Amino acid sequence: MIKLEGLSKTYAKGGKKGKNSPARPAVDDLSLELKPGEIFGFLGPNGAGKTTTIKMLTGVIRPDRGRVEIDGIDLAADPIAAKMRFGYVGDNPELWNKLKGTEFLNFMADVYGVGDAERRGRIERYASRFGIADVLGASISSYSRGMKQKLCVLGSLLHEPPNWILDEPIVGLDPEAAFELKSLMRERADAGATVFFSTHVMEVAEKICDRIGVIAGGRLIFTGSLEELRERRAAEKNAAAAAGADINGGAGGEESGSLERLFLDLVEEERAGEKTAGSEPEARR
Amino acid sequence: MRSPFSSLVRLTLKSSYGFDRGSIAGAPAKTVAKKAGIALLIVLISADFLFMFGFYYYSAYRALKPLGAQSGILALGAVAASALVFILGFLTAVSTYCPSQAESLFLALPLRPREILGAKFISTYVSQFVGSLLLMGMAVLIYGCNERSSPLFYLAGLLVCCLLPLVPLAFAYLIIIPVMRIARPLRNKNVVMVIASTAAVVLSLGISYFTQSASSKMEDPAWIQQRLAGTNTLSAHALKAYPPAELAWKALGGTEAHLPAAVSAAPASPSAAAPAPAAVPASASAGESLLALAGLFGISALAALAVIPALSGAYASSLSGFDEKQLRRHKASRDELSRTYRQRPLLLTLLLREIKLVNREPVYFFNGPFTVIIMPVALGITWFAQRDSLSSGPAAAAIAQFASGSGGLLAAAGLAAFTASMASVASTGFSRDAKALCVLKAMPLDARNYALAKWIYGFLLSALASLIGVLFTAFIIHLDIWGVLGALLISLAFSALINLLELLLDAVNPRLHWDSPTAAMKQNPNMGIMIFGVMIIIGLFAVLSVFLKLSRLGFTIAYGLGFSALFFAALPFARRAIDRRVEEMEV
Repeated sequence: MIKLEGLSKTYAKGGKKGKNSPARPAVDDLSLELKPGEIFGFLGPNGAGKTTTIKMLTGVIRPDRGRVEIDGIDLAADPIAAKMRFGYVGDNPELWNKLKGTEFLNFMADVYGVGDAERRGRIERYASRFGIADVLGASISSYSRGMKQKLCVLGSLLHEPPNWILDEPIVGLDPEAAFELKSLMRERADAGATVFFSTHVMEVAEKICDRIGVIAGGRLIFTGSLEELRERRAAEKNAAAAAGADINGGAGGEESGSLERLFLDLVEEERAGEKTAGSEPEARR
Repeated sequence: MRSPFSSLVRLTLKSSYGFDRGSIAGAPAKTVAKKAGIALLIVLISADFLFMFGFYYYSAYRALKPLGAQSGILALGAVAASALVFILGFLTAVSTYCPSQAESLFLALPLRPREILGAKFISTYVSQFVGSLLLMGMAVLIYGCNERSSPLFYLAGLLVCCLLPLVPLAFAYLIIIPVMRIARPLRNKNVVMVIASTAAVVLSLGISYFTQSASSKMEDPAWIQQRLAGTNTLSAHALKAYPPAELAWKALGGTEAHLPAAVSAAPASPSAAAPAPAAVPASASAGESLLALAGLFGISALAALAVIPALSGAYASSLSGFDEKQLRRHKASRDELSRTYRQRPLLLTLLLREIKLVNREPVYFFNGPFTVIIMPVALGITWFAQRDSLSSGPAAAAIAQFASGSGGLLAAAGLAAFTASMASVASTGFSRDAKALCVLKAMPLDARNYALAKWIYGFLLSALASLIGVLFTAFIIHLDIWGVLGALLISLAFSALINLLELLLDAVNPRLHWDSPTAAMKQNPNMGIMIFGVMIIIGLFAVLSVFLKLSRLGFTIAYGLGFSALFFAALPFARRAIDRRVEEMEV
């Protein structure tokens, strides 16, 4: 179970920009609770705050405010115990190029305290599944990006974590590996794990997520199932039509119900709202 | 709008040298301090070289003047600058051949191959011009000042300095590009780095041997005359064999009359060398000089302009697929899996990770662990070059007396401590991880274990260096076993403290944003700060030791226990500070 309470983070404090320009929060008062057994897709445009949220969630950076709980353990109070409860796949698989695949996996297994028999079994199982068993003895620098990504996924699963956090995991994977990863996410969730992942690929989110969260401008603007999002948008449209106003998302039919369309509408609306809020003081003058 | 070529040149220069035209007015204090530190370092290094070259040229000038062959120092400058620019240019051209993916990316841009190679050539030329200015420029300066030359002489000197690197550099590319084009295994960044670094080490050891051997003989005019004045000297032969150097020399007023054949059999003693041949012309005519300068300009321009278009196609071809790696496939057997996947203690895992990551990255290895080996070799060369004067006569007696007292112990400890600080791997410990911190911090790793592994690695290298340093000194000055043990204890205690300070410095001031390991190492000021800092500390302790006047046991206890006490006193503070800083690091 993953719980985020009022997470906020602002960069550029006292930095070059910070002195003369007001610092804008990268993540603003974000709260979220993910249940065991669910797959949660975290969506948002570039610079919306997805990676900052994930970094706070995994303890890579400290939030300015708010707290993170992993299976009831406060990440700030007991980081080691909390971090033992999740596996993490970062967005950059190019970090271990000087090691061999076997060395990286041994390192990961040692860090998570995985015993000899368990690590051998899991490495064999997952490596065969991702088709990288025969390259593990080679230097990671000779791997393709997709292979590196598969290796990172494998490394994150060695301790069979009850929570699995993935930042843009589909990027660089071939269709076969992407399918395997999606199946694995479903299997983990079915086994009771919480799966949290960020993505730009709406199709993936649409197909495998139990719930989604949409972040824009550092604020979580929607959480719920795809069905709930559709219902909410339909209700908003009806209300707007009754009031004679035109709201975003003019496309009709099936397209208007796709996650992509709904996502674009939501984000556009949020941006329009931000602009209006930003120009208010001027309008008052 | 700039032309694509000028934009490419600017980009290449900026990425090669990190030129930053930004004003320091209003910049943060840290930026100003960093720029001032870099400027100071450049001034110190340049001053060091200028002083060394100046000393050699002036000694040569004084020795050659009585023979009327003083322009021999210009010949020496032209030959030495050409040779050094060729070697350094070759190394620079190899190491910067394809330092990043950017070079391969240029191939996809609408740029002509000759523009890509031209920009690379200019970028390499800039550093070689500096070398030429130091080596040839100093000869021009010494000669010009002593001969009261006109401003035109200095102008000609500047032009010569500009032109001299072009032919050697063109020649270097003429060798490198076809080799790179044909030899596929060489088109690998690590291989290139290993070749360039090894060659640079050999070159610096060679220069060290030459300067150490020559410095003791520069007081002997007859020795200089025999080597520089006459037609049968190395520089005279080099002038004949390499026309650009001869043209450079003649452009500055040199004539064959300055190389009297009779001087090759010059008398051995300085007093006997004094009678000078009277009928040597002061310099070549202005017309001859101008003609030589025009000739040098023509040859240099022709070399650069011929090589760039001729080799640009081969250069572009060699860039495609640069640094591609072969993936080796091998299905492990059950037995292999059992042997490979074994649990280890976490601290050992972290330590092994440090060792592998440093040893497998050539730039880290050559600037870190390799110094443990190369420093004693460099010191050995110094000793070998001066062995005659050190192993006999009054110097040997003085050394024996020095070694029997506290001096031997302190010299061994000081040398060992200095050698131990050269690897300095702890001073870039966190910076090297940089982007990997994003993942490492998400792991259940105690910051204390993480930092401890880095300290242990640094200390192990320091301990090895201390041992080598102490044993080397003991061999040279015949130090007894108690002196060896005392020096080792002092050096180890000192190294423990220094590695802790290095780690603390890198935790406080890490460089976490870099594109290549070279940038992580070379653009990180922490290593330089610590190496220079240690030199200053050792110097201060040398002065302190003069006043303390303790016995060997006294020094061993005072320094050995003193540094140990400082280490243990600093440990709790350093631990807390490092923990806090690791927690705060954001990439």
